[in-house]
Amino acid sequence: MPSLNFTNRVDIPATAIDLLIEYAGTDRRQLTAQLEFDDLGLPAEALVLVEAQYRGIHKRFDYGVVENVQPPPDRGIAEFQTDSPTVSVTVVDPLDRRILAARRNLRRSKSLGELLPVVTADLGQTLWRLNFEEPSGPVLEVTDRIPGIETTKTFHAFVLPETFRSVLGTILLDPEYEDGDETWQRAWIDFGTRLTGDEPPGPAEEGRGEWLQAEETAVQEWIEGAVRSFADKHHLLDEYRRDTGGVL
Amino acid sequence: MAELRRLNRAGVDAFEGFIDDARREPTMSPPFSLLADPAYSEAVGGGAALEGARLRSKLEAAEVLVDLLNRSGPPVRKRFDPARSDNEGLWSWLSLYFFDSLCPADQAGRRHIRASAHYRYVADYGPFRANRAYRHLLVGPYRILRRHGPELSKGLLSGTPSDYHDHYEQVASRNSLWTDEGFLRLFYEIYFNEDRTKWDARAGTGGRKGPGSIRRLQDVFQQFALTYDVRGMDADALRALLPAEFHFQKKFGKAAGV
Repeated sequence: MPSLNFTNRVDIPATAIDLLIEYAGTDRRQLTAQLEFDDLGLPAEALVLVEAQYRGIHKRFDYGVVENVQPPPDRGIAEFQTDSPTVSVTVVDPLDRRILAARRNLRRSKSLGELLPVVTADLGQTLWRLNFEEPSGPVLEVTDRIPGIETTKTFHAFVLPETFRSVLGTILLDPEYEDGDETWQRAWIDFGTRLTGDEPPGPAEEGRGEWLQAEETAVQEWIEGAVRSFADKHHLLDEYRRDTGGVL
Repeated sequence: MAELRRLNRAGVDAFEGFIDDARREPTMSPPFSLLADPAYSEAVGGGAALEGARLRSKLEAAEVLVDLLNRSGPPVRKRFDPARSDNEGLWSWLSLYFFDSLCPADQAGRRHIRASAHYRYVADYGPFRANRAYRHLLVGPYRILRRHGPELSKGLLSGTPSDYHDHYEQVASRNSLWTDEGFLRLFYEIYFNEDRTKWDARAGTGGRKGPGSIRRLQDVFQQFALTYDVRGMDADALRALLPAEFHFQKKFGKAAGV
């Protein structure tokens, strides 16, 4: 059911926010929010605030104003016992501190490298294989007979979309899967959510074992949306053409 | 002078056992021997020495602990930081060390320990859970003072070390409130008397519910937070938003300012 909004507050879409963790030694982690407010119609002079919270620790970072968003020099989160604190982004009227736009309870999506480690292996005549390891999640195994193949645009174009379909399908169509905060499955769903801008469709009320055909179709459409969004974001087709000259 | 130590797992178990037993036998003596017994505790390398074992107020308790961990240096402070550490028995050892202040005996030698009181005194091995840390009678005040300093903390940390009043529970249990400087200033202004030395007993303000109560203030603030950046507002701006039920100074004909 859609929520009611009596405040005329703008909901900042998840796709407008990218959260990054930068490392400079174990205790010198920094949280950086990359923000894109262009299409939201917010006043240029409105204040931008980023807040992080985890287990009773709260930090607030002043990101300047809408027309000049600037991460502050000190963005340290060394005191947090996690790389994924809960983050809120708020845009505030500088005069009366009224909230003009907000996005609450975001968590940093893991980078693709963290989500999908790549290892080389003897795979015979096959080039790659997806291997699920509990509790860490999927690992992309790549043939050790063609060194560096996993870094080519051609490999990305052919392998990554199918890899995403497989991982997300394995998670979302698994009748045994239960959502949790810190699981590899949750990290992948967050990754897909950031690509599509929406959480995946939920299971039937009776539980995941009772999927209706329509719901399964909706999940597959969501997965396909995530895959296409990834391909668009990284220009997989164009990069492939550039890599190969457009011919196989 | 006492050497800073920590309870090992057997020490924590024994301390918990005492708390269970003392509920049935309130005149039991606390097992202070655990504090130095190598079978139940061990020295904290690099830990500063403790002086005295009596704490007169929550604020003093927090000051003693902040000072203790400051004198112990960053490695010890980090190792036992309630927000990051797995506790390793230090906070339980400190509770036992100060037990006469945290759970004083009355004139008949009886201690009044509530049901399910472990979390007030004992920190299990393992991370503090969000719903436990603030209820620990030493950890909660320590975190508040370390974050805010004495001026902002003195309202929340009023009373004796063993006190656990509803005003503290309602504020300390909500990160959005106890970490908010403007809120703490207002909290102090509303609920303390004019000379700001003791809890104000003006009608209604000490009650759990009803106009002017802390639970109403907490409700009102949660409503404000939907519309305003309350954390970015100072006490003056927050006061201007408050409904009349909190304007005690006007209501009681005291100094203006609301």
